[in-house]
Amino acid sequence: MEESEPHLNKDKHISYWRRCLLTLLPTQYTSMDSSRMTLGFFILSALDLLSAGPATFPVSQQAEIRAWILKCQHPHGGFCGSPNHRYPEGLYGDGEDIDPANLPATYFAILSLGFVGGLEGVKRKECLEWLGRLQREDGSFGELVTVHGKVEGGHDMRHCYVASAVRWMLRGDVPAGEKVEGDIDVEGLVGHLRNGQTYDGGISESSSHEAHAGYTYCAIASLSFLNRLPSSPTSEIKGDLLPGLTNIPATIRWLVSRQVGYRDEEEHEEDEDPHRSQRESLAGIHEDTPLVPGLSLEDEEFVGFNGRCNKSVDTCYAFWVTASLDMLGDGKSKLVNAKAIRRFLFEQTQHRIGGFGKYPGNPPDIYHSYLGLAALAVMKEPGIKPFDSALCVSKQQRERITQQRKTASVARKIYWKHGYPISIREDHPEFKEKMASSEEPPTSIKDVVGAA
Amino acid sequence: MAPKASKPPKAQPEAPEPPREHPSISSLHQDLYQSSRPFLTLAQTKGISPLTPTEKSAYAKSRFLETGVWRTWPAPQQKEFWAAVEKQNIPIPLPKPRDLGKDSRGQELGTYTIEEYAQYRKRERQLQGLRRESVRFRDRREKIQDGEVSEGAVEDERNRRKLIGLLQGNRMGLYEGNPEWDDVVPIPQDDGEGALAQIAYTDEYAEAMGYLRAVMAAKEHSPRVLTLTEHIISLNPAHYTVWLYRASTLFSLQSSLTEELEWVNEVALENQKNYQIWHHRQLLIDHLIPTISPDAVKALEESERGFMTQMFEQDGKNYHVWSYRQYLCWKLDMFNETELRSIEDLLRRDVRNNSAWSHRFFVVFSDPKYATQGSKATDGYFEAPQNQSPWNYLRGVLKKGGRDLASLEWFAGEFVKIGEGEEEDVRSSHALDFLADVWIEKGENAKAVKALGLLGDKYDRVRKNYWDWKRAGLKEGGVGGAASKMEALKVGF
Repeated sequence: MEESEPHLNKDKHISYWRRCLLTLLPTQYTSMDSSRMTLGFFILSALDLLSAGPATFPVSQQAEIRAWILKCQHPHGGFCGSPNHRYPEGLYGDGEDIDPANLPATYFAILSLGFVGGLEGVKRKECLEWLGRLQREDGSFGELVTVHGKVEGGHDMRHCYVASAVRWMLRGDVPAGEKVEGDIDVEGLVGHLRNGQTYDGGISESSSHEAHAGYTYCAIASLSFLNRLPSSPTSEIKGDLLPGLTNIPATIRWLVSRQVGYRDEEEHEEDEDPHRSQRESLAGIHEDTPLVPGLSLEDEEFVGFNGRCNKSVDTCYAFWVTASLDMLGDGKSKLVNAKAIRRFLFEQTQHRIGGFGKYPGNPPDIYHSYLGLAALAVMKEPGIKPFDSALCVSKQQRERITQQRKTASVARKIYWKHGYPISIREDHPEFKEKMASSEEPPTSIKDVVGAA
Repeated sequence: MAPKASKPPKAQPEAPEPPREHPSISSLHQDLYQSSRPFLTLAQTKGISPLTPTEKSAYAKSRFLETGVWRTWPAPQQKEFWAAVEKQNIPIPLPKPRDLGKDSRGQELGTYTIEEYAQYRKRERQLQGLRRESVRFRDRREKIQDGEVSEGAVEDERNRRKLIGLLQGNRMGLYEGNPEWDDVVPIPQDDGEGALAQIAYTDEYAEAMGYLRAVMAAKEHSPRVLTLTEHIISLNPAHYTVWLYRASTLFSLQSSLTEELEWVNEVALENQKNYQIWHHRQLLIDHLIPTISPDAVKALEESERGFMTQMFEQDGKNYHVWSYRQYLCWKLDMFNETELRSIEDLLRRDVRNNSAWSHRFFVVFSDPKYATQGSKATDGYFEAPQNQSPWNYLRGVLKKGGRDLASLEWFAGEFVKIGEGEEEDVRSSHALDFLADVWIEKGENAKAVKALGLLGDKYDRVRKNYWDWKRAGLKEGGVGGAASKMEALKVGF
C-alpha cells in the first residue's frame, strides 16, 4: 500500500467498540430495543475482527455474556430480540406463545454464542422445527409465527438469508439436491430467491419490486448457504435443479453500477471542472444533483456505493455490494475501485472517535460502524482478520462455528458416580460402559426429575 | 459629592446575646443537645474533683436525670429530688440527636436549613395524609365488587397521585399514577449481568414497557391497550410484536379501522423509515375490504393513492411505500391508466426516480391487459440520456418482449457516434454500454472491445476495473471465438 493512502487506525476502532460493549448506549437507541441481539453481535464480532474479541475477555465476562444470550432463548425454540421480549419462565404455556421467538434475533444469538463458548445450550431440535414453521407456501420466510400458526413479517430476502444461515449453523452443509428429514423446503426457497431477480440484474425485496443492494446480498448469501452458487464447493447442480441466480453477468453489472463518485461539495466549489460544459449538456433538462452518477470522465478521488440506482451513497452499501461480488467467485470483489472506496470510507465516513457514520459527516453508529469495517475486511484491509462474506464474520470464526456445530450436535447423557452427575457425549468411546455403570441418582434429585 | 468621612462607630448599648445562627438543622440539634447538659459537659472537660460542691451536686442530679434512675425511688424521695432540680435550675439532658437520614434525592436531611427542614416535615405530613387517602381509595374500590367507582373518585385519586409525585419530588410514572392501571402489576425487563447493548432507557419507556409486558402476558384486549400500544409505538416503532398485538386488539374490539388508518397516516408521515407500520396497514386493509361496498373500495383506492402521494412528497423512493403500493395493486386490481398516470407524474418530477421506473415495469408487465403494449421508454424519458434507469428499463422491456438488444441499436446510436479515425461523440455512457452489448450479441467483437475500452478509459472511469475485465474476457474469446464465452459475457439478453 502506498504510504500516502489512509490506513486503519485500529486502536481508535477498538476503543469505539469497547465503549459500546461496556457503557450504556444513548437513549436514541431505544428504537432498536427489539434488536439488541443484533447490536450485541455487531459489538462482539467487530472486536473479534480487530483481534480484541471475546476470546480476550475475562472468563467470567464470557460466561455472563453467554448466560445473557441463552436467557433470551424462547422456551419453545428460537431466540427473542431482547430481554424485553422474553418473559419470566412461569408465564409461558404449552403452546401459547406470549411474545414469539424472532428469526433475525435467532441468527444473531447463535452467531454470538459462537464467540462465548459454543452452540451447546441452543435448543437445536426445537429451533429447526420452528424454522420449518416460519416458511410460507411461496418459499419465503417470515420473522415470527403466531400462536395461530400465522407467519408474520415481510416476504423479503432478509428472512431468507437468516433462515438459510440458521439452518447452516444448526444442520450443517447439505449438498444441493440432498433431502434431509424435517428440513425446510429448499427448492421453494430457491424459487423465491430466483423470483426476486429484477429486469436490471439486481435482486429486490421479493418478486417484481425494485432491486436493492441489501436484498441482493441476502439472496446471494442465502444461495451460498444452500450451495447453489457457481462458486459453491458442492455446486455441481444435479439433475433438474435450477441454478440459484438467473443471470450472473447481469447481477455483476448491476453490482458494479452501485459505485458512485463522491464529491465533497464545499471543497469542489472552487475547483475548475475541465468537463463542465460536457457534463452540463449531458445533465439534460433535469437538474443534476451532485450525488447522481453522471459521466465519470476522470479518476474519482472518493467512490462510495448506493443501494439502488440513482440514490445517494451510504457506508453500509460498501459492504452489501463488495460482499455480494466476493461470493460470486474468486476475485470478483476486485472488479470495484478499491482504492477510491477505501479513501471514501477512511476520509469521509470514518469518525475521529472511531467507527463509521452512515453519510459523510455523520456520527458513528453500531450498524454502519460494523458494515464499514466489514467492507474493508472484504477488500482485505491489513489489520482486520480475513473475512467470510456470507456469514459476515471472520473466516476463523466461521471455522470455529463449524467445529462447535459438530460438538453440539452430539447428544450428551448424564450418568451418576459417587453421588455426582457426570455429562458424557454419546460418541465417547466408553459411553455404553459408563452409562451401564451409573448409580441411581440421589433420592432428593429423583423426587424432582424422576428416575433416570 | 464629597466622600463622607468615616466616623468611629458609636458605642452600642449592651444587647442580650442574639440567638446563635445555625447553618443547618443538625447543628441546631447538636446545639440544643449541648446546652441541655452544662454540668455533664463541665465534668467531662474538667474532671469531677476540681468542681465546687454546688456543681458536683448539679452534676450528680444531671446524671440521675440522664439515666432515669430516679424513677426507681420511692415517691417522697422523687418529690424532694424534683424540688432540688427546679431550685438549682438544672436542664433536663436531651438524648443524643439521631441521624435524620436522607431525602429522596439522597441528600442528608441534616444539612437542610431549619426553615427547609420545617418545610420538609410539613410536606412529609401532607404526604402521609395523601398516601393514607390513596390506600383508603384502593380498599374502597376493592370492596365494591362489581360496581364501578364513581368517575369523580377516580379523578380525585388521579390528582392525589399527581400531588404525591410533586411532593415527593419524583413524578409518578404515567401508569403508576393512573388509578385505571392499578390492577396491572408491571413485568420489568430482566437484564442481569453480561447484558449486551444495554440502552439508557428513559423512565417513561421502561415503565410503559413493563405494563405492556404485563398486558400481553395476560392477553388483555381492551380499549386501554390501544392507548398503551400507541404509547410504546411512539417510543419504539420497530417493536416487532406490539403492532400485531395492537391489530388483534383492534379486531377483537371491532374498533373503527378507518379511524385507525387515519392515525397510521400520521405515524407513517412522522416515521419515514419504519417498516412494521406498512405491514400493519396491510392487515387493516385486508380486514376492511370485505366489510365495505364496491363504491367504498373505489374511494379507498383514491384515498390510499392520495396518501402515498403525500408520502412520496417527502421521499419519492421510500421502499416501504412502494412495497405497499404493489400489494395494493394486487389487492384492488390497480393495473389501470390512473396508476400509470400517477407514476408518470412522479417521473415528470424526477426522471431519475428508479423506484417509479421499477413500479412502472411492474404495472405494465404484471397485468396481462398491458403486456402487449410496447414501451414508451424511448418516447419521452431520454431528455436526460445520462440516466441509467430508463436504459435498464429498456433492456427489461426488450427481454420481456423476446427481442434482441440489436433491435434498438439505431436508438442507442442516436447518443453515440464512433467514427473511424476521428474523435467519437458520446452523449451517454449507458448508450455506449448498451451498444457494447448489442455488438457482443451480434458477434462484432472488435467494435465491442473498442466500446468497452472507451468506457473504461474515458467515459466511465469509476468502473474501469469492470470494463477492463469484461473486455479481457472478450479478447480471450477472440473475434468470432467460442460462443459459450460470449454467452457468459452477454448481459442478460
